Amino acid sequence: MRAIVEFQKLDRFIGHLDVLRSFQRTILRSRLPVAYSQGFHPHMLVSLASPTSVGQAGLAEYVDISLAEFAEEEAFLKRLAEASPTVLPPVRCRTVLDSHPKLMAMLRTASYEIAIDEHADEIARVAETLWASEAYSAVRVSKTKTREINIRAMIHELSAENGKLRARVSFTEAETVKPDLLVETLCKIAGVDVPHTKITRTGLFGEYGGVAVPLIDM
Amino acid sequence: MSDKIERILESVTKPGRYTGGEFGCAEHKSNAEVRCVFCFPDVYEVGMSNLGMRILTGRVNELPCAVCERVFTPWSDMAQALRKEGIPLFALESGTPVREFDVFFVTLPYEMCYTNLLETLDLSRIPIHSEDRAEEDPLVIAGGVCCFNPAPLERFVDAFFIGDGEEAIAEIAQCVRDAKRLPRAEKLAKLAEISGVYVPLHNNGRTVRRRIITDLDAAYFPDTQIVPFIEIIHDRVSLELFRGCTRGCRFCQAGMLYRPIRERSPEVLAKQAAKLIEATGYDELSLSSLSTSDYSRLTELSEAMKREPILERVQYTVPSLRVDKNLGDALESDIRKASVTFAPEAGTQRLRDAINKGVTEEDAVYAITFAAASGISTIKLYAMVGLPTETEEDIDGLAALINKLAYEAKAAAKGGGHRTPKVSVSIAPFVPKPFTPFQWSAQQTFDTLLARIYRVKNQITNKNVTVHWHDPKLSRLEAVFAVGGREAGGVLEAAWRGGAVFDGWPELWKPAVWDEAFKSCGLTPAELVSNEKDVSAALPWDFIDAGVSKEFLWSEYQRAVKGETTPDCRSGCMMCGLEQRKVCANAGDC
Repeated sequence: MRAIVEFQKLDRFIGHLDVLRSFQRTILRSRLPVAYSQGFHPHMLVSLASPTSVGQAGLAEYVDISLAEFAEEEAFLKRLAEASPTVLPPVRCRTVLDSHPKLMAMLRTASYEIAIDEHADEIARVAETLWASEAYSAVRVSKTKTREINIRAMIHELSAENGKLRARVSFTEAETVKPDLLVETLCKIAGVDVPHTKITRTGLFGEYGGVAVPLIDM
Repeated sequence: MSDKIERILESVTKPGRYTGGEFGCAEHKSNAEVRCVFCFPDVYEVGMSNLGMRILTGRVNELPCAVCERVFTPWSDMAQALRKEGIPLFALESGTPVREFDVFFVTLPYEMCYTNLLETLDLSRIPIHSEDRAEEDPLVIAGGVCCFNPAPLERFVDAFFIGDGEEAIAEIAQCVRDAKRLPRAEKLAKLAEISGVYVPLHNNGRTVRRRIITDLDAAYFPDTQIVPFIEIIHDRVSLELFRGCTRGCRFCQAGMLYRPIRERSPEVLAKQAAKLIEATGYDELSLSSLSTSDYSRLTELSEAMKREPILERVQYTVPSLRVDKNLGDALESDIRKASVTFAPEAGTQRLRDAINKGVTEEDAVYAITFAAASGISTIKLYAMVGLPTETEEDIDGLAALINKLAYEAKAAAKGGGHRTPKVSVSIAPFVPKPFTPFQWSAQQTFDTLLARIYRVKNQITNKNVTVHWHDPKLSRLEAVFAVGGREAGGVLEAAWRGGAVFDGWPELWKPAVWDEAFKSCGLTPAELVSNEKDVSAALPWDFIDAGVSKEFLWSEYQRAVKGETTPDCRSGCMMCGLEQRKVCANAGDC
C-alpha cells in the first residue's frame, strides 16, 4: 500500500533533496509504518512527485510513501502533520494500492502563480494576445541542447490580474514549459525587460477525459 | 520575512542558512520577559553542529520567562548584500533584528572566530565597543573555552562567563529579567555577582572562579534537537558521554580546563539517546567526549542502548576515536568503523614523554595494525611541530614513525585480506594555550614552523600517505589571541576593519590584511608569542581560577623540560588543584 500526501512547501528556499530528507526524518519521527527497500543498505521508499527549484514555493506538492502496513488516511495524515516542520505542512492524504501508477508517470501539467514586479500591465496585455493566438515559437535552452518549441501549444490556461500571472503549462518529459520561459516569452512579445518574479507552483495535474485532475485524485 | 530579505536570499549561496523554520526550533513566546539571541560566530552548518549551543539555547528556552533564538555569522555574500540593502542582521526564529534582543550570547570555541564576532555585531548594528553601546543595545555576554583569556576581547564583550554554562545561563537570563529596569552599568554590576561571570567594567581585581557542574546525570540536557533542512557538518544526534580527561597531555587546553572527569551513567545516556532519536528522526548518533574510548563503562553503555528498541536502526559514530589498547573493545562494539584516528603527536619517545602523551611506538604499531587488519579503510594521524623542547631529531623521528606506521598498516591489511588503508597525516603547529603547562612556552617562528613541516613532509616516502598541514601563519595568529593581552584586541579590530573575517576558511583568509593590522598597531606576532615566559611573569588570565593550580602547571612544565612523565590521574591523584574544590571523584587526600 502507498500513501500519497499533498503538502505545501512554504519556505521557497528549501532544495528538493532537502525536502526529501526532511520527509524521511518526519516519517521516522511519526513512527508510521513505512516500507524499506530490500538489500544490504535498505532505504526508505519515499519519493517526490516532482521537484521544485530552490526559490519556488509550492502549494500542492506530492510525496509518495510506500507503507509496510495498512494505514487509515485520516490517522496517517494527523500523525504525519504532528511530526512535520511548520514550513512543510501535509494537508491531505490518500492511500492507494501498490499497483497504482507512479505519480511522475501520470503528471501532465503544472500550474503556477507568478508575481511580477514591473511591467505588469504590458505583460497582462500580451498574455491575452498569446492566449488568443494559434501558435508562438520560443526557444528552450537546456544543458545539452537548444530547441525551438511551439510554446502556445503547451499553455493550457493563462490569465493575468493584479500583477500576477496564472498559468497551467505542460510538464512532461517531452514537453515542459518552465515558468521563467513563459515570462521571458511574454516580455519579448511586449518588448520589455524581464522583471523580477516570484514563482509559486500551485498544482500538479494528470489528465482524465481531457480534464486536468490534481495528481492525488487521479 | 520581508520582500527585501527574500530578494537577497535569491542571490546568495545556501539561503537555507538564513531562513530558520527547522523542525524543533524554539516556539514564539510573545510573553517572554527576557529575549535572548545565541550567536555561534561561524557559518550555520558549523554552529548547528555544536553540542554546547544546543544545550545552552535549550536551557534558556526551558525557562518560562525567556526565549533564546539563534544567529550565525553570515557568509561574505550575505554580509555584503545586507550592508548594501541596509538590512540589520536578524535572528532565525522570528526574524527580529538582533539588536532588539535583551541579551546577545556568543560562544567562543576557537580563536579564529574572533573577527566573526565583530562582523556579526556590526552587521547587527550593535556597536563593536562595549563603551559605545547604548541603553537599548543587547548585553553582549561571551562564554566558551576562549573566555579563559578574555583580555583580547575585553573592549568588545560586556561580560564573560567562565566554566560549565548550563546552570549559569539560566541565572544570567533571570538576572537580566530582574534588572530589566536598571541602567546598563547596573545590570552589568548585577551580572558580576553571579559566580563565574567576569565583567571587565566591574571587576576591580577580583578573582573569577570557574563554574563546575559536578553531576552530569542531574545536569540539564535537551531532549530534542533542531533538525536542519540543509546538511550540516555533524548531521546527527549527539550525546556527551563525559566531560574532562584524565590523561594530562601538557599541550592540551581542554584536558586541563574541563577537569575533573565527570561521566554520565550508561542508563542516563541510553535514555537520552532514545528520547533524541525519537524526537528528531535522525538515524545516526555520535558518542562525543574528549576521548571516547576512555569512557569507563563502554560495555554497559552498549548493553543499555540495546535495551532501547528505538535505537535498533541507529548507527553510531565516534568523533575522534583515540586509538590505543582500548581500541579492540571499541572496534568490536557497534561503532561504525570507516576510519580511526591516532594521535601520536610527536615522533620520538623523548618528546612524547615531554608532552606527556602516554603512548609508545609499540602502542601505535599495535593500534594501527589492529585497525588495518580489521579492514579500516582510512587511518588518520595527528601530529604537531614546534612543541616545547623539540629538536630536528624529533622531526626526523616523526617522519620515520609515519613511514613505519604506513608500512605496518599495509602489511597488516594484506594479512587480513583487505585493501591497503589510506593514511592521512595532519600536522599542526604547536600553539601555547592558557591554563596548560605550556602556557609559558614560546611559539616557534613562522619560518621555523614551516621548515619543520617541510622537513617531515619531504621525508615521507610512502605513497599511501597524504600530508595535510595547518598554515603556520594561522597558528601564529591563534597563539596571539590565545595568550595575548589587550593589545591583541587592537590588532583584531584593525584586521576586521581591513576586511578580515572567517579567518579559518581558506577561501576568505587574508594574510596580507593581518600583516597590515599588526603594522598599524606597531606590533609583531613575534613579540607577542615568541618569548618564553618566566614563572614570575604576570599572565593576563591570572585573575581567573580555572581549578588547576599555577603550581601544578609550572611543575608539569618543569617535568616536561626534564622529560618526565605524569601518569593518568585515574591511577592516583596528581594534586592538580581540583582536589581543593572537592569536585573530583579521583581526588586524593589533601
